[in-house]
Amino acid sequence: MYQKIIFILSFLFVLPLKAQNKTFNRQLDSIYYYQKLAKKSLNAEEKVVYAKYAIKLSQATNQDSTILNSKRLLANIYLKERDVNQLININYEILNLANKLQDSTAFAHSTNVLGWCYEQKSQVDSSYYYYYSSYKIFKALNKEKNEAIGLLNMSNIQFSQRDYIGCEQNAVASIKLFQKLPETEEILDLLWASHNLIAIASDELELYDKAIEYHAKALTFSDKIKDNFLYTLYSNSNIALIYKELNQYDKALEIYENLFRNKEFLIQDPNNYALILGDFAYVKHLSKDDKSESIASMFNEAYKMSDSLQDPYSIMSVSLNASEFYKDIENKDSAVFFVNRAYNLARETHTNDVILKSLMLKSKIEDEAKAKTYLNEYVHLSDSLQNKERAIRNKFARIEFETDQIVERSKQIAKERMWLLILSIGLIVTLLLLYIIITQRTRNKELKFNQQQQETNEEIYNLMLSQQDKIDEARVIEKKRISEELHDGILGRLFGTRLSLDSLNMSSNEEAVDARGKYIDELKSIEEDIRKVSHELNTDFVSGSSFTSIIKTLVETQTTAYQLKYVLRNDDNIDWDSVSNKTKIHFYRIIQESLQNIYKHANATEVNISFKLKNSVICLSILDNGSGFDVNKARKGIGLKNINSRVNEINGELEIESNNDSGTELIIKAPI
Amino acid sequence: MQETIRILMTDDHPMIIEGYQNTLLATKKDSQDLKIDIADSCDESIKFMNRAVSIENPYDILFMDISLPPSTDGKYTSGEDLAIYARKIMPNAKIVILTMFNESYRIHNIVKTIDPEGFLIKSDLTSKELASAFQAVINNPPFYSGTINSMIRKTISNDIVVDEVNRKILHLLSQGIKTKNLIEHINLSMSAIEKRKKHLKELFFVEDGNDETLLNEARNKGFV
Repeated sequence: MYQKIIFILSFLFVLPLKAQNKTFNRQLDSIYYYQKLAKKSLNAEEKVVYAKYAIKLSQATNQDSTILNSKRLLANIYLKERDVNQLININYEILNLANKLQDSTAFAHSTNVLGWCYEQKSQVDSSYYYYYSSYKIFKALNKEKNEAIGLLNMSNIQFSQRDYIGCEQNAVASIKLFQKLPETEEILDLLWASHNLIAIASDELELYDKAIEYHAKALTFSDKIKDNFLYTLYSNSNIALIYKELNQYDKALEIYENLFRNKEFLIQDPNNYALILGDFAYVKHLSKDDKSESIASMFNEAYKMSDSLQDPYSIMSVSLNASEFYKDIENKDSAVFFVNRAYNLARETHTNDVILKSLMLKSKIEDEAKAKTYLNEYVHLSDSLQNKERAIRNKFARIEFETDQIVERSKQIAKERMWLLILSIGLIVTLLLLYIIITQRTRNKELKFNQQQQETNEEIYNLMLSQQDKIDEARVIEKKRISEELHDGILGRLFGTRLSLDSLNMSSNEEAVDARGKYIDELKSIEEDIRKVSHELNTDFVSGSSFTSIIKTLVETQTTAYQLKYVLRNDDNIDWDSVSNKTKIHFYRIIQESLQNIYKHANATEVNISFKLKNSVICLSILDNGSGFDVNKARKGIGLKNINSRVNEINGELEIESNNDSGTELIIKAPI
Repeated sequence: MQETIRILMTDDHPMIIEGYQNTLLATKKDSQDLKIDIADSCDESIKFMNRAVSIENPYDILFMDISLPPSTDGKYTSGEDLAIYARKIMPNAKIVILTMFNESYRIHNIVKTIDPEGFLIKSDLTSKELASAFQAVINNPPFYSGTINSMIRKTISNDIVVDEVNRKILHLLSQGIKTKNLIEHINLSMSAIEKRKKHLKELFFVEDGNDETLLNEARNKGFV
């Protein structure tokens, strides 16, 4: 999963890069050119030079995959040349690059090569470690052939370190894998090798029947190989040796005689020829059916041939066999010569089993006193060898364990990384969601706040409207009152007076003149009344009272609720009817808000609110006698913010004066 | 032969009563002996009437003002109410209504409910007219002043028939009462009032649908 993500990401990055420019392509072309040259060239040194040049060019491109390719080419050249030290160096570089690029195939191949390198350098544990690592990776990659080869390599090392059981296990595992694959020559070869390995391991464990069985199986595979002479030779000579161990000399002899029927073929591989000849001679001697002269001449031939070839293995084998032979025919000098030859050579080549065998032989050949020292040496050596083997076997187990652990850990790390990625993505998503939710919520809040503001404004507006209605009604009532006063009062009196005067009009006596005088006085008083009514009509008792009365109601209810004393002063010069409703609404709200603030924060007992008109600017002052606050430091609370925004709405100015002694004064100046 | 005429004058303006007294006393026939009681409120008027009935000496003529302060028990709110009461307890008494009102609706209403023997509008009343009205009511009732006669004639000569409720609506509208407040004065639902108004507008050929135009038309035709 994690790797896939990485792959997709890198793919995304690679795409634009590829389309980037032509110079890059030209660079690639020249790299391919030198790589081809390196492959085609016949001379090994030239190959190395070209390959190195290709690496240099690749490094200039900064493309890790290209560098890796070039380096693998060079590693292949070194492998063909068997240049172990250079191989180790280049493969370490390849390992680094492959790791960086997550190229497990390249990684596994180069660990395999490293295993081989360390095997060549006889650093068995390192070799085993690398073989095991590559086996694990190939297994993970499902490359069965490489996996089986890895197992075979490991079992080879285990065999060389006398860990026969481990060797057998790995070999069996490799056989299982090989059998799944199509039977090519290569696979048949490998199958033969693994069967052979099991056979010789069984031989070492003295399971002779099993050994013969596996040799026979090995032969069935080698039979299918075209050029199978060597395979048959090895298997057969091994079978013969087992029969020798089993004291079935007839069968052994039969095999050797069969082999030597093709003497011309045999002699093409003189090493093996000498070795087998030695074994053949010894078996002949053991079977006691031949004369010692002919056997001695066979040993002679074998030894001469191996000695001339300077092949330590054949020399040692032949020498040991010869020494045994000479010991048996009681030719002590020859026996001692051969056993010493074998012993010395074994010492030189660190071939422990030969050392042991030759020591045992020596002890048998020499007289008792010397034999004891040889036996002691033998015991000592065999003990130390056993310890060493045990240690190495432990080491193998440990290597496997540790490698498994490393693999486990890297898996763990990959898993952890994946989790980390998932977690961080989850976290980012949640954060994003949270952010969206929060912004949405604040937006909603703002909208709601605005709506509320709108509603309260509307409320005030309605209040003002209803106030206007009330005033209109009052006007109507007043009009009616005046009309009634005129109608009922004055008209009635006027009518009465007129009627009386009318009736008095007819007579002209003294009495009537007096009465008329009375009615004329009455007319005067009626005149007075009319003037009064007219005056009442003239004064507009309600004009301008609408807004101030609203404010008065507000301040009155608010201050009674907050238990404050108040003084409200209105400037009669302000024509509130000509002030826009917006301004009036904002004044109303500002007063409301300030009274709330005073109640909440100021601890005041008195409020003084006044309107004044100066140069067509309305100054509203709200003064309290409470505990003031630091204007500069005061946290801008919602109340103050609201007031500020309202003042801005009506293009006004806000001044706040506050100190601890005299409370706070808010002054709002707004143009009409 | 001396004739005693018992009179009750109800008006809240002493000046007016004085005017009536002056005029009647100056113009009465010598054979007529006037006994005048004066009431300046509904309560007093009722008291006088009740007493007159109880001593079986009812009034011959009642001079009744329409706009009076209501009685203390709230039963009688105007001269109209008093007149109705007087008709009940003194069916032979002659009632003369003297009012400042000159609105068609009120006059129409008073004629209908009381059918007074005398009906005079104060604003166009002279002492001469009052004197002749007084004589006419005694001898040959009824006597309606010129304004009232012309007003009644106007509505009668019209083809337009306006029922009591519609008349009231017109009257209230002419008083400046808004349509939405009419329900407070008329025992009808809003939709019924609207329907009536629409009908009135059709009756008076009001084409622009304005209340103002309707009132003007109604005023011209003497309904208001």
